[in-house]
Amino acid sequence: MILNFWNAWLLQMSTALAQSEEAAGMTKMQAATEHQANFQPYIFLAYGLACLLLLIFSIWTFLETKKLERKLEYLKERFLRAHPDALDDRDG
Amino acid sequence: MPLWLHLLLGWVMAIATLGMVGFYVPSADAIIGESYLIFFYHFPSAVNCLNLFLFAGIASLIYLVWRSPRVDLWAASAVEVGILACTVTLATGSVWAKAAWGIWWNVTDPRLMSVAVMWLVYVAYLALRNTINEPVKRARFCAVFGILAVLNVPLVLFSIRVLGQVNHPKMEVSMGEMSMVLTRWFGAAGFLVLYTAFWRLRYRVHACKYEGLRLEEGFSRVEI
Repeated sequence: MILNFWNAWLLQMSTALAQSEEAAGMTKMQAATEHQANFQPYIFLAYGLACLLLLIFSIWTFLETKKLERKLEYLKERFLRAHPDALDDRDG
Repeated sequence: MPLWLHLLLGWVMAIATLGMVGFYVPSADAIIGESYLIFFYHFPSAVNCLNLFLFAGIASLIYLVWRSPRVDLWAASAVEVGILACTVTLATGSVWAKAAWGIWWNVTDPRLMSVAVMWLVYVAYLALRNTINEPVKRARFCAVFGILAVLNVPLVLFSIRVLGQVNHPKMEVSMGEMSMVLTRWFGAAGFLVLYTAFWRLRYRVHACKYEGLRLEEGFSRVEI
């Protein structure tokens, strides 16, 4: 009789536990689904920020390089025109 | 490889990663849901910022041995691009933290704080470069600083193991599916290509400045 009662109690408890776990799972899933709709702006913000930073860096560095290269060409030309042997002397 | 092609390839791979995030990987992770999508730009930037700081440390060490000014310029360029990658990591990480944990930042989290400290240390490296005018002295000081600063890399890597986990786990996303694994490593490779192209681009800037200085020195030498 005690064994029967124990079995019945165990069955009842496990059913109740399974039901509560299922309910909790459903609540979590609902919460996650509701919350997921709010994730999209964050995803766009993260990718937007990353791409913007990389793009600004690319353009800025590219423009800076072009500007410096032009300046360097001009300096080299001027230098060689004024002192044709000086650059070779320095390197040597 | 020509620099323009290198840069173009890096951008194409970064945009392809974005395409894979949009159309290839599942829209939600089993553990943290949809916000995991931020991972595919966060992780490559984090890995490559550590790579670049490591390269800067190695270049600094080589400079101290060989004393070649070009190696110092490579180290400085690596630090600049590393700071960019670290900024992307911090920005995407912060947005992800807000989405997943509800907070932009956590001052008690060892991983977050160690990355922030690393970012500040390398900003200090650039500040040091700008404060010293004499090129040889600047290169020597920065090489020593670069070698000391590279200690941040293992600190960031092992911060969670040593100091314990608060918010940022060792691995946030389950990454059970092949599409996730592929996108993750394709992104890491794509960003490696992009950041190395940036590295070369920054090196060109420094090389032009260096050549300019040499020419100015030449002008003054001839005038004397």
